[in-house]
Amino acid sequence: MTYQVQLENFEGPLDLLLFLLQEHEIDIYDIPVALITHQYLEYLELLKLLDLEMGGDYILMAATLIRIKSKMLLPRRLAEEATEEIDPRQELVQRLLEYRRYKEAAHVLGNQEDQQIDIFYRPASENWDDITDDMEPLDIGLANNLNLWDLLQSFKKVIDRVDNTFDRTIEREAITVEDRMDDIMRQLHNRDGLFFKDLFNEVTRPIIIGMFLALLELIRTRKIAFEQTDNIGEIWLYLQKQDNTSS
Amino acid sequence: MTEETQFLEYKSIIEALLFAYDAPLTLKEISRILEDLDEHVIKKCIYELNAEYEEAPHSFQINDVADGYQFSTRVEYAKWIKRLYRGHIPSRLTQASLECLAIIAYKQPVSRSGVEAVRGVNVDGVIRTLLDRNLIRIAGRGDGVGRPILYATTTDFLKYFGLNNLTDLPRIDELNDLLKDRNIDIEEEEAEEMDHSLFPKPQTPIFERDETE
Repeated sequence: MTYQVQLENFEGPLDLLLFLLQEHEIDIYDIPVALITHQYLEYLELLKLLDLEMGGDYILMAATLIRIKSKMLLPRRLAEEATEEIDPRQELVQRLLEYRRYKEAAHVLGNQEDQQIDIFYRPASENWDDITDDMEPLDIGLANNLNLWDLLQSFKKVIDRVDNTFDRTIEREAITVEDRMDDIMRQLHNRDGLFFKDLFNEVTRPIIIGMFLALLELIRTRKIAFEQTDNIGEIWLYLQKQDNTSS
Repeated sequence: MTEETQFLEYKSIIEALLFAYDAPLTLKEISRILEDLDEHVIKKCIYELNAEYEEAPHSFQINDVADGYQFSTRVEYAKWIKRLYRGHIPSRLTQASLECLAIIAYKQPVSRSGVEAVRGVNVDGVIRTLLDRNLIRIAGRGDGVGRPILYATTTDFLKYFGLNNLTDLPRIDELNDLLKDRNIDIEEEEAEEMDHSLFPKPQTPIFERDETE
């Protein structure tokens, strides 16, 4: 079988068609539709055989090919021959040509990527690229309008940091949310507060996740509160004053 | 201050600015900070700084990228930096991502279905990946049915591919020549004819910069 080439590398029906055209050295401007339809359908059978995921896009193209093929088989009317006759293949050819152009553009980008992949810039601090002259100076004051997403974002930062040293062995550790709640309360005790990221001095994933769940629970039960110093800043945690009589 | 020491001072200031900033800094911005210093003087400063880094030699350089200047490491040190980041360096883009990006780069702003029309396959997943990697952004909504979301490339896109601006990419009609260079059969006469019908040559640069939107 000659068809055992990089099946997974086809980027769709157009790519497959281009491949078939090239394989059979067919002129893109004069496609023998019957032949190519046959080849294309054979390919689809093969994809099915290998149980590869085949999107409806491939089927749609098969239908298009068959439609063109049948159109070309229809006898031409005399009147049409006199005027400009539209080749039923024309639309497909244009699509192939356009796709091929962008495939080439992708190739250009790929080459650029090769050249740039080993150059490192300072990592951008959260989307600062768009700083413009009329931008407001950063508000250093504390903002209270934080929501769960802000917390999750901070959580992700901590998790990302941990991932560097992530230990792949799985240990069964008994980490209960209750223990972590106690831990957080202990850390906050007798302090004005502390930064979210400083809660996590132990760096294993289960502990961090336990911490986070505990934190959510403490916030829910209003034992602690949190604030953010500015839009992209650190989250500041502190004990909620129990000045109401509900407790 | 003599002219000479003045120039050295400028050089140091520009070095400090670039050192402190984590995105490409434009000539315009540097000039504004230095009270309308001539952009040619700035260019000269950067040129000399780079010469000094090379002479030293240092492991970094000032890169001319995304219509601005930014410090980057030299390729020779990639190996070590990769060790620093371990698995955290984003992987190379897949062929699907590259094709999708190419279409967006040339057709922007373009809707998802506009991209799909060229590729002939669903691009939902790819678009999401590209958004996640900040290589494309949502540039607004189109006028069509359902007011589709339109996508455009970002500054990070330029940085990622080491481009100064979008016009650094070959023009769409130049791609045929590239195809020919790579020995992919294409019939010159007809190809040229197709060019004019499919992609009329624009009078002005085909791209608008991000800022103009």
